[in-house]
Amino acid sequence: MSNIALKFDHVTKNFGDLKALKNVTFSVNKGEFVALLGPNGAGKTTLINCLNGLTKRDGGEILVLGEDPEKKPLQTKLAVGIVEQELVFDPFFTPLEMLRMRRGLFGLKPDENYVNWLLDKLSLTDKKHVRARQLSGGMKRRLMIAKALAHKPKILILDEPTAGVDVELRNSLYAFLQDLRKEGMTIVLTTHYIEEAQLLADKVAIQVSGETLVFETTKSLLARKKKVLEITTQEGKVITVEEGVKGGFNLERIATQYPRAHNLRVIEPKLEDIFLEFTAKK
Amino acid sequence: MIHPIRLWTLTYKETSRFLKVWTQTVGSPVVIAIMYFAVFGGALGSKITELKGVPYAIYIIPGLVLLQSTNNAYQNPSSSLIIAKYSGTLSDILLPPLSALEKTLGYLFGGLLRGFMVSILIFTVAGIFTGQYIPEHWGIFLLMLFLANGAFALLGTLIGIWAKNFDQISGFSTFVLTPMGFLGAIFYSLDMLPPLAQKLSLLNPFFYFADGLRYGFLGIQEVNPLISVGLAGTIFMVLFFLSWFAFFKNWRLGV
Repeated sequence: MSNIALKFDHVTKNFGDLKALKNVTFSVNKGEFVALLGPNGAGKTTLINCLNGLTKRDGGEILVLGEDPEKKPLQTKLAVGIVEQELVFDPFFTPLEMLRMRRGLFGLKPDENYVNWLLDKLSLTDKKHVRARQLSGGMKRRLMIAKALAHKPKILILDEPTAGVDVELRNSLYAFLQDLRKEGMTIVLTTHYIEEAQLLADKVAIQVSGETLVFETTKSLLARKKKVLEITTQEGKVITVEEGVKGGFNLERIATQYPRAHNLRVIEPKLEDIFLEFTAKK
Repeated sequence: MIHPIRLWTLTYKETSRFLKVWTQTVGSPVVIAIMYFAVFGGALGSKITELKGVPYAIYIIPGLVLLQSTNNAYQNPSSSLIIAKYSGTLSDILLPPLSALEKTLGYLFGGLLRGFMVSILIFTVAGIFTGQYIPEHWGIFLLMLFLANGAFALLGTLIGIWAKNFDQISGFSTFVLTPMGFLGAIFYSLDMLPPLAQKLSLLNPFFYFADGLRYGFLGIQEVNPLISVGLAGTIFMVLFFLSWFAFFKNWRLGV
């Protein structure tokens, strides 16, 4: 049995003259956590919409657990949970009703234990009988995640779930996603926050203007950039030295060269710098 | 393909939406119907005592019921779909694996149930006013109630799928459905009209829904009830197919 959870193979999509997706090609293994990075208009949401059948692709192939979502929509929809970018709710219903209905719309029998577990896990138990419009922004965001997980999907796609979310909630969401990942869930996260991709993802895809520029493990992407030693002299002058080809710094040489060094600081490579390099090139 | 849990849930969703705001959705048409009875049945009824051998206040019951119930059957799916488009919750029905048939039936049942509830309440109120409770021909009565409310629920579904804003939903209701209803011979019989207006009335589909229901309820008719049932059934089937096809093609629903 294939280990691939999601496969995008030369996927193209045009909206009139706008080429929203240009031969997007990458695949996500089962249990992997992949971050899809890109500036606004990169085609991240279009790619997700092609995956869930909301948008019809023009070319290429998409496979969800080996099945094409356009040919087998019923099977593939069951496999995927999507947390949408916008905070959207039917104003008539409470969180508990929404999760019950979500399961029903996926053709699943009621499972009160699971629904209550989900509400508890996302700290929504106290608000489960309150109409959605009365929830705070953070609660609404958590409810979006609960809705996406109501049918116990194998793959979770999060479209910028932390946009406009405070630090505390963001950290609790990270912890929750890490728990899901430990349980074996495949996760794809699109985000503007590069540090969250660096913290959570096994692999990173950088997409710009509908094109996937790079798809690598986070580790190998970070290895593209060298560590830098920042030296501050007693006179307050700041000098930077890149690490050697084999890694590490020749401290003896540095001590000889800068005998009046006052302060040393190692600067780790950041995914953000690599991302900016790619987007700038484009 | 129909999955019973999926269909039940969508029907439940579409039904509980209108029940949560029942004063607007079910209460309001009943109050409007009472006003009609008071004005037309009471005031006008003293001038026109009988039509086709039936007291005027009783003659107008089926038409009045239909006017309110079909309007509600239309409003239920059309408002649900346009609110979903506006609020972005359309994905609630697009992301789950609902088939086109399940979506069509779910919206149809939601509209039908609202139409039936309004019908039952207005028939009950009319019964209190006139003492006329029991339909003459139960089979035709129930069939016409189903076909009329069903057809308008399907029309509401189609318009809800097609519309891009609330104006289009209410515009269709104000400029097409309401005149069609009022000119469908619900307050008068055809022989009260000049010959040209009579011919024009026969082109109005609402006339056949009202005439068929009147036959079922009171046993009187303007045209052969089989024509009314046949035409209502055909309209229902055509609208059902069009709604199904629109969902099947994801027409104006995808992004």
